[in-house]
Amino acid sequence: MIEDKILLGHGAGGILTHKLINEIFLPAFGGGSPLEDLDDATLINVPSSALVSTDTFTVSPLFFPGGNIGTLAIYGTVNDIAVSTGKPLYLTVGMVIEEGFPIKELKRIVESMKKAADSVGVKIVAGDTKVVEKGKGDGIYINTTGIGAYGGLGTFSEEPIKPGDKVIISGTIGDHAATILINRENLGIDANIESDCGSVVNIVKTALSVGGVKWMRDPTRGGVGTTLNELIMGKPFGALLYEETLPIKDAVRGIAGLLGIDPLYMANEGRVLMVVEKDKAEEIVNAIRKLPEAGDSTIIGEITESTPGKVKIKTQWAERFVPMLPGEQLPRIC
Amino acid sequence: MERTYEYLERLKKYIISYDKPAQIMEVCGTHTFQFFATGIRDMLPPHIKLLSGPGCPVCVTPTSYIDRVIKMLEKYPDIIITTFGDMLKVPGTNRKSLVHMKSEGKDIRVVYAPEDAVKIAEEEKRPVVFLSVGFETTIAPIAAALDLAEQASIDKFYLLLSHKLIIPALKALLSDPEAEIDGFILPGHVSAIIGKRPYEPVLRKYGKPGVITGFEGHHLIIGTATLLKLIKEGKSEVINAYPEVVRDKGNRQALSLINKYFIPTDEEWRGFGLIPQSGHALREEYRHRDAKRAFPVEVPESQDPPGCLCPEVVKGKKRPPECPHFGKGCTPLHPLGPCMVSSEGACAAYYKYRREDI
Repeated sequence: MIEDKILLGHGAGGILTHKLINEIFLPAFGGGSPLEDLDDATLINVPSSALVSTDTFTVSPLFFPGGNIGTLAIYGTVNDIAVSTGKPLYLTVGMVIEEGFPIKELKRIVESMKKAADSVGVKIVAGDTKVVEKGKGDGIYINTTGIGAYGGLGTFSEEPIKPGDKVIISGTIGDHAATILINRENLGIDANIESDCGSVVNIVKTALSVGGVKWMRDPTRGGVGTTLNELIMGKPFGALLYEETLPIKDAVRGIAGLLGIDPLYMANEGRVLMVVEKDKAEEIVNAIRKLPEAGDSTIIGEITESTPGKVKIKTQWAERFVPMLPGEQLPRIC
Repeated sequence: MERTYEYLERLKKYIISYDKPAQIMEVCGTHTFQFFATGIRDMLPPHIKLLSGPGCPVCVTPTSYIDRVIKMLEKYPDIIITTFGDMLKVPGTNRKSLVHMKSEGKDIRVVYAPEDAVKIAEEEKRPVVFLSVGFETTIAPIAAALDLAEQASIDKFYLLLSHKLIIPALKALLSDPEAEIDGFILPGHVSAIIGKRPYEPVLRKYGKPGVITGFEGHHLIIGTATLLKLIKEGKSEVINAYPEVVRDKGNRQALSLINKYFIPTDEEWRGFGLIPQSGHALREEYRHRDAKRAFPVEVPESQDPPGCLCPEVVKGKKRPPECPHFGKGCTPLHPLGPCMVSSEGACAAYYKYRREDI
């Protein structure tokens, strides 16, 4: 049996590294994958139109209700590929681990990564581990790079975005950020809430199969507010959200209020924001609502002719601007 | 219902088409938030400016108050501090806050009402100090809690006073020759206690109008339209646009309870310094409940966070985004100054609604 804590030697390439690979990584990731050969590089078959995406995860705390840094690292990259219509095929995993990190926790992370990867049918085909001295990292950081088959989940409508199109969110907003904050900031509140961390592959596939989807993103850092601004900025049209239809859990609203932040800017890790043809909007919502991970999906706004380049939200009384996030929002959220 | 809707639409049109520049101060922090949240702030034409006023109790509490609490906890480890949650994160000198003291194991408990602090005093053997910070709206329940402690002879209940009275603050604002305020949206909740009348002499003296306003969207529309009309007509009247809650003479029962225990005294405000007769002391017969006397400490000269513009923000002279720390070194999670801490603070409101541009 190997030591119970990560040592510098685990990243040095010697016997300890081999033990780590053989006792932790291969049992989880290995099963029939090219990883077992332990070659310097892996030969894979890539479709002629492939998507590639990379993301690095530094979330604190590492474990939180609804997931951990490992599941976040798998779904994060998988979702980036999925919202670009890609069917995720392969992933690489790079880890930077701090000396002294408990092996037991590493095992927990790795096993949940395997489970997450299997659930979306993606293969882990390459990996790397480095160990940094105690105090030079914060437990563990994970990078994942993914490759997917472009159009593998369906295709977007060829019609350009135009006023009248509807904006859909596939579930409640802010769950992930609220979960992280409540577990990190010692708020002393006991809210029954968990991260939405999960795959959006089925949501994307279902929506695309209905047709009429013009644009999709997963509103992670910066939330729905920022993601929508990224679409609208500099465009000849605007967007108007309807405050009364925004799906927000009471607990998230409470935490947001307590911390003085707007749920519109809070990160999600398993939601899809889309712009769809007006006439297809209801049908898409009804279709994806059948999926357990999208039961709260709703039409939350529309594309407008007025105030081009700006996002606004309609309250009961008037309309207010939802500007781009100016500075730091919430660090280490994913 | 239809008629109400049409009435509000007509007032909205009046506001949107108002053609003269006007600077309006919303005295109360809850108004600042609601103007943002309802979108009414964004509806205003650009020449109508909203200035946030000093009506956020945490924001105008001086740094020395926090420093005193910290010193008290260090010198008298036995005491239990009870407080509204907003005070926990307010930085004292060197950014040290009650959150730090709590993490050092000091007994600091968040309560939602002053009478909860009295209950703690009843159950515990140790002295309980309530951080008695607030405007008239909060002072009323504090007086009621004190009344409870008196009647039940709960001796170990103390108050560390930093009460703030709204009328002297308005006087201080208006007597500043640099003040550029055309009229006031007056706080609905404070007015429910003090009534409409106390505003009249001071606003008349300085020739400014004021409208007592509630907190829902329709209140804000009615309050703003009414105030703009008064400004245009050059009237210095006070109008009560929240009559469902506010009476001319206020809440007499609450006022007499406040008067029973407290007497006005000069009080230090962040940004303003000492304002005459703008705070409270306990009346002589209740001075034994004064935490400042019961637990004396030396408080070295306090230092405000360097570069923090809270002192200017609470006077409506600077807007939060003008502060170099806004949204950078100072966020609601890691606030540098109290205006970013409080759920009524102007900086917190600007931060929440992401406004750098106004």
